Amino acid sequence: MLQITGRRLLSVVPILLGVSLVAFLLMRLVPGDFTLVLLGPFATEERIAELRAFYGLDRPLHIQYLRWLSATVQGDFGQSVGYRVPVADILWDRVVNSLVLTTGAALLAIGFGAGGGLLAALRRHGVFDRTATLVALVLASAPTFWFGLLLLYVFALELGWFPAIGMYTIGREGDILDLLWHLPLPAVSASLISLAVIFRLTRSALLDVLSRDYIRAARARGLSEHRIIYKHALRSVVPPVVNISGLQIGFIFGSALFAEVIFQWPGIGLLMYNAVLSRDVPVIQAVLLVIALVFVLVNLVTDLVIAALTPQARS
Amino acid sequence: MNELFRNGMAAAVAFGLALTGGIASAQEPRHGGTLAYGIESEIPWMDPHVVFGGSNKRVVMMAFEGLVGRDRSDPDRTPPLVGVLAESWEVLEDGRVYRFHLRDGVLFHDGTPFDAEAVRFNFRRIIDPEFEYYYARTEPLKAGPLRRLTDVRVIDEHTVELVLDQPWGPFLDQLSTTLSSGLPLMLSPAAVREHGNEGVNLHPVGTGPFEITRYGPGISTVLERNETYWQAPYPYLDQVAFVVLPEAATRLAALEAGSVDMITAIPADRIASLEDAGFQIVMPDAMNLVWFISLNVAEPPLDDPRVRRAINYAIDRDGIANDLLGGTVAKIGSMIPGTSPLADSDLTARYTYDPDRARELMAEAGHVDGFTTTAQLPTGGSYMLDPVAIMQWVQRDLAEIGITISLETYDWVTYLEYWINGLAEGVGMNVMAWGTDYSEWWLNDIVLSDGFGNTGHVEDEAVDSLFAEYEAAVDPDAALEVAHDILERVTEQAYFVPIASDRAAIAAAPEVRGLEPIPDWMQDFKYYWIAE
Repeated sequence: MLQITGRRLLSVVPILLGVSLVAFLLMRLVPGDFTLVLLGPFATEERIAELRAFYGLDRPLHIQYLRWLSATVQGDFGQSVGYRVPVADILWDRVVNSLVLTTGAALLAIGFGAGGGLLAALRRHGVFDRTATLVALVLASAPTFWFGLLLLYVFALELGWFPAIGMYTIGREGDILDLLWHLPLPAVSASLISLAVIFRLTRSALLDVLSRDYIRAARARGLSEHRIIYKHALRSVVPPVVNISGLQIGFIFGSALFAEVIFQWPGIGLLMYNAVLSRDVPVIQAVLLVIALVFVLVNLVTDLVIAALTPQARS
Repeated sequence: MNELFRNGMAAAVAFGLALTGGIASAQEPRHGGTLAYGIESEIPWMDPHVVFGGSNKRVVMMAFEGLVGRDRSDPDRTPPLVGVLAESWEVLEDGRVYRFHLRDGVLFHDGTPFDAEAVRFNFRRIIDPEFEYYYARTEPLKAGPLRRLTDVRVIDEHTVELVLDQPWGPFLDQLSTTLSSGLPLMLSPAAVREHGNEGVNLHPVGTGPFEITRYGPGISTVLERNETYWQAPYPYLDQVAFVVLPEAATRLAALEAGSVDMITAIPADRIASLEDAGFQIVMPDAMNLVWFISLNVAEPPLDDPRVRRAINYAIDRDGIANDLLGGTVAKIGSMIPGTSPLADSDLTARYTYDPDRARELMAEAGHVDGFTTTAQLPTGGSYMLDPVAIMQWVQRDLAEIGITISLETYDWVTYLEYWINGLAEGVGMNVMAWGTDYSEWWLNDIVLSDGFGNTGHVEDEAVDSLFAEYEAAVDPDAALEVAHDILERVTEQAYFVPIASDRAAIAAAPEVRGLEPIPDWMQDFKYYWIAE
């Protein structure tokens, strides 16, 4: 177990390095000089040159990369061009906000997805199974931003049940009840696709298990249906469901970034979106790295959980 | 607090009566409440001397004040120049020295007094490289509105003289500017000393009706009522929260769902539906800006004034203003914004929609078969309305007289780079929205031979020398006459194709009061209050 953890952790390093290189180069290749954004259209040539020197933009590319990388590793992502504060000052709060949304969405997706999938499989061809399978098919094909706008329109604008934007009401920052009132719409829209995917996989996994010979053998031996399902079938369903859920958490994190933009949820998705619009290169780079880090860590944790659950994966 | 409140109310009532000429309104202005405002872009700048971007300035203008300003409480054409932190002033030595008598008893938000030394500190920060707190980043302000300022003399605690290197007519107007990069407003010297030139951006301390108390980068900026504001009974609101909502659809949704109480930058096709839903909409008839096309006059065929006039005759500005943009913009027939005293002059009606006249001019210039050129434009940007839709309309109108233009679109930042470098060879047009600080001086940047925004490469000695005359004219009426001559020349030569001006609609929830149309985006939140 320790060995697996060590090996996995080591493999994280080259992945992050690769992402950092891409993040760095990508922002050097796009047109548009961010010093112009910083100084505005009325800047003098000298000021632009001065600022380019300040950001090291006049150095060779590999030197720029190494300088940037060494600062980044030490947690210094530079100064945000758009917000006029160190990127590190805003980044971590935003990451936490995104994780709050992701957690909410993941709980919805896994809870309703896995729960619904099991129910549907147990009552195969029943009314619930048929309806839920159809709904899951529709949801899995609906883009997050479209569904988010729909939710916003119906539940915030028409019905007025939930707020349209933000994470807190102005003046109630940190109030957990207020947060829970703001959370449902973005969390639901971020969770829907994954919910559908988890639902379908859980359903077919359980159906698959239920048709196995050993279940048939158990039935032949006269074990109660209750015992068959809880003692034997569900245990085999857990690893694939954990696996897909783990993969889906990464995906939910990605969907949450879209939901953040629609609902103005102050996470890194919104941060990224605005940074791209305003050419805030240091912020874009930091967010890319953080997203990669979250993906890698989530996958790592999933792998470890699966390893713990299934003996054959450990070797 | 109670006492203050009652006094404030009494003053409010008195003031309200004075304003309305004794006609009692349904409800008297009341103090208190939070106004949440959905702002269309980030608010990273709080140091007034370096702030840029119209929406950012809207916030900064509430926390900081200058010696003089514009009174926007009167929605008439040109907001009058009034004393703000200066009670009065005299122009001495034929316009080379401006002596200001400062308002007594004004305090910065940190409790330090505003006095002549503070004025000197602020201007030296911008213009004096020898000064300990000189800040190089304020360069655009130094090179722009304060270009003639050479010295600041403290006469006594409440009297200060600003000394120019030569008489310069636009000076007072430029002290009230809201368009330059960096505004000449007063920042607490104590705050600069404590936090340094860079640090003060996050610790802004001014004298304005509101104090910036919380900055959530990309989320919101909160301003709180300045309890010791010198101009009682203002402000009415306890708090203004500027919620950053760059997406128009989200901004509208936030207003409709009640998450914010007020927004601007409203898509033209949504104004009617907002009104139907019970929201208040206010729009000025005239704004201080012009949306215009610059023409590349350095090369054929646009070096020929007849061709340029033809283009001006060929465009249906009424159609753009009313059919395309649903009346949310006002058409503009000359480089004169609607707020200018010259807006009623004969110049504005010189080029009416007349395709036949345009075709005649094209024929006269030898372009019976027309020609082909390129126009560069952004997909959006500050004050740019819907540049693509407008230029597609222009494209269609010009096709009628044989001119084929291909449109090259860029995002705003990339576009600005092209724009600043001037129209390249073979590129005939670009577009921009620009405006005036209620003088005609703004034109110098786009029309003088060395003007940095002269993207069309205009080189006209007549204009250059008229401008020198204009700048030297200290008497406003004399200056206005010269301005008319400049604009006459610019219009006659048709260096530009003015199209329209935004009408900057404000939409607000029904309970927000004190709304007036504002001709320049600089909404004054101290007048707003919230009804019970």
